[in-house]
Amino acid sequence: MTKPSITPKTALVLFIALATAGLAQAIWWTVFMAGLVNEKVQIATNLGADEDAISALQKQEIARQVMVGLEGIFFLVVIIAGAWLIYRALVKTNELNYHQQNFLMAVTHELKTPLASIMIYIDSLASPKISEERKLGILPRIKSDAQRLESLVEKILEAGKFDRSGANLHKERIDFSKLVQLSIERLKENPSDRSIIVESDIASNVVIIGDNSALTRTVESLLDNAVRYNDKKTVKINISLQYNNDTMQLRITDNGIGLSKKDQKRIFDRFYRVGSELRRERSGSGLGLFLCREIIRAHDGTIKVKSEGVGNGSTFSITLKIGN
Amino acid sequence: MKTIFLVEDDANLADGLILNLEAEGYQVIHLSEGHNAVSEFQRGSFDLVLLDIMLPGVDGLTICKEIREAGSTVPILFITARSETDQRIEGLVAGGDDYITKPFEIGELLARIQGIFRREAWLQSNKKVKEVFEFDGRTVDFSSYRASGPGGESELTRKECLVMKYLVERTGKAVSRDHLLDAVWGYHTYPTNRTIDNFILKLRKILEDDPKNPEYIETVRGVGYRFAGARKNRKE
Repeated sequence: MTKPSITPKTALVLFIALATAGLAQAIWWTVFMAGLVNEKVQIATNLGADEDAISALQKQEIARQVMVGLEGIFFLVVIIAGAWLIYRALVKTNELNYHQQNFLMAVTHELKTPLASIMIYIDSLASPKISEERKLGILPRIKSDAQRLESLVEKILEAGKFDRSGANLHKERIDFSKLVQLSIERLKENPSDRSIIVESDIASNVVIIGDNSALTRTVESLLDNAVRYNDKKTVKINISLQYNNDTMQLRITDNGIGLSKKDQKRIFDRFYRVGSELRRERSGSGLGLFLCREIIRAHDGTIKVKSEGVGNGSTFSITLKIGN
Repeated sequence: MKTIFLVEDDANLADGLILNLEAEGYQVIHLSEGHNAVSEFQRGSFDLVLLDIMLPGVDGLTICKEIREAGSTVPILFITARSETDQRIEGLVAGGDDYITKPFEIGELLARIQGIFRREAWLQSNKKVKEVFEFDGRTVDFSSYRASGPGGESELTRKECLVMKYLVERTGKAVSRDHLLDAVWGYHTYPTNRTIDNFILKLRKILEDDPKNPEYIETVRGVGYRFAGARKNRKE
């Protein structure tokens, strides 16, 4: 991993040094200027000036020094604020750099692992040492690896498309209730080694104007996350679709691993993956929720996440306008 | 039958590896996460560890370090998606013996595994050099990976043992760095053959009276190294 030439730690040290130097200078100037006033008053007294003149001189000097002092403080504040902003920017750049590297590791792993698997299975098909019976199980595995690769490549291409030309959606009148029901059915059909309990309360005939395929991917991605980011033996997912006069809200609540406050803020960012990729707990690229957010934004809607913290499950909610 | 401990989190890839390794006659014990890898390893008796680097819970590099710290010298072969040079070195510094980057052909992996077992058999063989090699009050124990000399007693890594054995088997003859790398690593896993110098430094520290002016493990300028042998056997 390449390190930036100035690290946030260096910047923080420089910032503290600057702030300390500024503060020391301000104290020195205050002491020096106070001494200067006394000195001038003493000279005037020695020259035989009367009390009124000395008092006027004292006021004048104090006013001038307050002005100089305020100017000094102003510049000091500007310099310290500038240094602080530079420090913040460096911290953010560093974080972005970390998440990009993490993303790169995730994508490398996600691309190369199924590829390695496919290559090994193809070699196995040609191997005389492997029985015909065992070879029978190979083709479905090659297919599932190819599908994993296809899904990742699609995500990367889609993320690139959002950058270049915006969403480019094909909007039409769609029955969102039906879309959610179909997604739930597909979730139930997926083979899983864990028990998945889905409770749903779906209002019927919720019609919106939107891209059927993009919204299906979004809902399925959220449902997939509810299962994948879950360590429980029994995965519980609660899905509700409600509407009022002009908006509808889809809420997907799970009993999964939950999210910290920090992760809740960043989870929809591109490349963002919770934790380090070296100790990757789950497969993923850091693009799924970013794409969900972009798709919902392109429909003038909002997507939010709420979690009571790590270990306490999460609720993802999508709000969209109802179309006529 | 050789037993391989496979730590790989991807179910498809792990099954593919098991399929082929079993077909080659190896017994495979598989673990799909890093949390319990070290304790599972210690519970069994393995001839080789195949270790993915990116693993749930604890990463492969940490597992490798912990296995080494626990005193095991079992060969460890990393399987990983990361291919940058510094990342490969990281794996070897952690105590790994070899490194294969995904995707790879199963034939290449099997060849590397056979290479590791071949080198292991050579290290343990005492046809040319005794299991405990002694010279001028110094000892190198190739079975327990220990050496003692003026620099004190110290544990050796398998690679250090292999380097020493290769030189001892060719006492009096100059051995090039390339030959040492080929013999000890089997592949050019390291980016530069100069890295062998670090292994020599460690051996000299233990075995030489003055490591800066070596008497036993000599540098042959422009070639590599030579083991001079015991004083009484040297041709003047």
